[in-house]
Amino acid sequence: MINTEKSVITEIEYLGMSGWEKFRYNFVSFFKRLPVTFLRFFTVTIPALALRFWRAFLGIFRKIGIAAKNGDWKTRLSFVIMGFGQFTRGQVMRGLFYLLFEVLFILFMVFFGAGQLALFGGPGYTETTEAGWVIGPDGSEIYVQSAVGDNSLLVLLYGILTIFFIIAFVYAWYSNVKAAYFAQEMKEAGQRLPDARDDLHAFADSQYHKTLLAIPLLGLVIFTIFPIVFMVFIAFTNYDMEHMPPAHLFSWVGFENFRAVFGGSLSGGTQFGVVFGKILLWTVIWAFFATFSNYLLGMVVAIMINKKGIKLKKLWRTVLIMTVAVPQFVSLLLMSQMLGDYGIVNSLLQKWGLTSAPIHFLTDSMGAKVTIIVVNMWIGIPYTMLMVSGILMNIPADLYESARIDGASAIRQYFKITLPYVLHVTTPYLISNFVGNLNNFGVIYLLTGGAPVMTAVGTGGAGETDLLITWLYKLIMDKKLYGVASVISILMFLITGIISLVTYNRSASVKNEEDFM
Amino acid sequence: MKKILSIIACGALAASSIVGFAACGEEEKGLTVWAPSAQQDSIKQMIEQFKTENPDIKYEINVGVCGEGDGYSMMSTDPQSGADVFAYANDQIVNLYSIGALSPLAPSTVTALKQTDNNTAVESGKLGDNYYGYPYAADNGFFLYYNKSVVSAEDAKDIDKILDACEKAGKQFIFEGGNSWYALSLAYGAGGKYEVTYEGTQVTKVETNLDQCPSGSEYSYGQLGGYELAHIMQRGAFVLTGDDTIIDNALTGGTFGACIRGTWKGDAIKNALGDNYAAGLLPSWTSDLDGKTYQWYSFAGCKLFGVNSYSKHPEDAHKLAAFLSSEKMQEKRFDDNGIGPSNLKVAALDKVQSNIAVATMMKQIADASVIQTAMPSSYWDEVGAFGEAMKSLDLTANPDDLQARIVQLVEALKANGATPAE
Repeated sequence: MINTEKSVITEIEYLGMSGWEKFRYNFVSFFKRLPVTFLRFFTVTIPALALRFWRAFLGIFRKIGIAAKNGDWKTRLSFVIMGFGQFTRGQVMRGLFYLLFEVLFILFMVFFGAGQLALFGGPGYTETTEAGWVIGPDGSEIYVQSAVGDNSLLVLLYGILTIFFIIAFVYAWYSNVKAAYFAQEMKEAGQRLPDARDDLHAFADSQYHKTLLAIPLLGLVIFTIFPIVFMVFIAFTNYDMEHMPPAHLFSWVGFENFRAVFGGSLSGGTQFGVVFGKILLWTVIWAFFATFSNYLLGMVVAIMINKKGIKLKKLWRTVLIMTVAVPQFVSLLLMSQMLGDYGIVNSLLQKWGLTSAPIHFLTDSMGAKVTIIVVNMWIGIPYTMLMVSGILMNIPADLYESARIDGASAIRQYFKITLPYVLHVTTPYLISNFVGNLNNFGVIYLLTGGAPVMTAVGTGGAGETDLLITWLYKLIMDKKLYGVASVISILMFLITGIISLVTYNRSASVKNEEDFM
Repeated sequence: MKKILSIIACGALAASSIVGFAACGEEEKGLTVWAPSAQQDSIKQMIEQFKTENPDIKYEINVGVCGEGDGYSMMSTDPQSGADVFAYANDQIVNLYSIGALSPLAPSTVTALKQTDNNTAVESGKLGDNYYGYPYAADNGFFLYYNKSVVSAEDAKDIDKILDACEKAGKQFIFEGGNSWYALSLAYGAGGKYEVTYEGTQVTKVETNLDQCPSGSEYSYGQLGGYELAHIMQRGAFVLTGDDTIIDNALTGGTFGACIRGTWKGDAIKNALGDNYAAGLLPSWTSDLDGKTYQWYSFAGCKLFGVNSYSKHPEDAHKLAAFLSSEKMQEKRFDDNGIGPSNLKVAALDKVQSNIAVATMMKQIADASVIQTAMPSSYWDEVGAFGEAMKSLDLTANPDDLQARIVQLVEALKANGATPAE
């Protein structure tokens, strides 16, 4: 259990401590280690990754260099005419594919790609003209249609497509050179080269993984990677309400949006830096409480139900599961209606004379924050209970039996057997739940919609209970600040990504994988 | 195989070109109109009439549902596939213009409109040098509805008397005070001003006097209005909500005293209160700060028909929009849906004047209102934040604190015009 690499006390000392001291020690050392952990991520993990990429990158050039140096004329001609090496060495189909791709690429670039790239690079596109009326020669009014210029959204889209195509071409060219040299080496060694039939067979045999993964990979590129790249590019443009293509084109603004989010402001006067900090703080607080309140209370409920001697176990479990059977959004909308200033809860309280004025469950900053966390328990506890119940039933009964024989109290049994076991199994769940809560759109949007709005100047309509993700929704849907919104989503991606990677790799579940096997 | 394919392809091409030419021969013009859901039947009848009045051209006109405030969100991603003619509220004009969804009116049309229609309504469609809409309704604002059995006609002229009467009778006064649409209405009543100038979609100048004092008073317009707003919102009878169902609940539950709302709620209140139904101008209010009495002002907004600048038949679309907002159609719209007309002749009709809600709204706009121009979105954000802050304003605190908040508000409003260099 002790982390030996960082421990400053010996194991004997640790074992000599009382339960409370041990808990305190572990608690303190966890938080002491936390900065070191994050620092290690940046000083060790990332440089190591970078070095690996750099080596792989160099390796590519080495291979090309070797092919250029040792290759015969056929191989060298493949540098210019793709597939030539394969073609002349009897691999007609492979050669044709390479050649076809090269021809297609050149045609694409000449007739389409080059022009798009030129526009993509920066200014130089034509603006859209406005519609209007002119007075004709006979004095009548003639309507003039607006002429749409180079729609910057399409320019961006096609530009990125072209870049993707160029990357694909570079990769194909590299594999063509590699394959040409490989074929030459095989020929020189007197080995038989695989022909078209062999290649096709390979896709059902030794290359079967490629066949299987081709469609998922294509889907991933089109539906995930391409939009992400597109979004990252948007972060460097002034795509907003004042620049809506095709009527008003947007253009590159460099790091203007990043500057706005880190303390500056845009023309609207919104202090994005201040709002971002405020919302990030609440997002983290919310994620912490939402995750751990559900987790701990769910576990307590599960243990209570699982306890020997509790009657009607199935009934209790079913009752709690009923909340899961009701769709989440229905419960949330109902709660938001019930807890409103003039909702049923306040009406009843006033009718019974318990309060004289409505309690601001959802309209006061602090009240709304507490209400959200409490309502979230209603939705989350049954899930944890369900999961922990399963784990509890899996803990070997002999562990408890021997603990009882040794005279361990129920609380001791919980901290020595139940908690470590459950924690070990559910740490990955906890992490994913925490990250999920950072981006928990539904609860906030349906319960308060971010209300109440911040009362300070320059907050741009952001709400006190807005999470980053609901604020992002407002920025995109209401304010159309696509540039700034992209910057914020990049930051959110980094935050959630780093938190999940670091905590996951540090968790006991990963480090001591075999412990409870 | 290839041959067969190419033959099929050629055949398909030839067939499509023949069909294409045939379609051109008939001269059928397709137009799409978007109107609010309540006006669907009415607008379909109007379109039939338009077709019969233009028998030379074959029109194929589709009608879609779109609220006057929703055109922007429905078209912002792809204005080219939006409706040719659509209804919009004048506060949407900058948004719609920014996506190129608005086509300007011919100068001669504007001159003609200024003769027949309420000039406030015509001007509300102006952005820069051009006019972008055919006005058809001048009824977007708010005024007082009250229950005669609770509030007397005399009391209804003063907000404190209304609140006293409601409190005494144990009834509710419903007003969405913190909302950005209403939050500065008291300040405007005291004489506050807000003016914004555009160049294209860019705000070039914002002028406001909210931080300045009216002559003879040592409190600023914003201070007077903000303090009074907080004062109203902290009274016992006050119910703060933008939810129309709360008004319905108050009406059915018999707790309705009075409310501040627009014409859209008129029928519901009339049906519930029967003989006790009454409406009046926004009441006057006496400031606790300087002891003077001021009038309460409404925003005056209008609704217009816009023509999409991406329309394939712009001239026909302009003709249709002009028809839909013409005198006869405005009268029909009042008959069908009780919508307050912008046309001067229709507004003067007896039947319009006898509709309490519509007549009160028109009187409110004429006597005590400020034009709701095309506000930049930051206006709504900042005023909304200010309204939210007024909910919990400490009325016993030093008024200078409130003035400091007003100064911040004014700075934030003006910051919009000071666009940083690009």
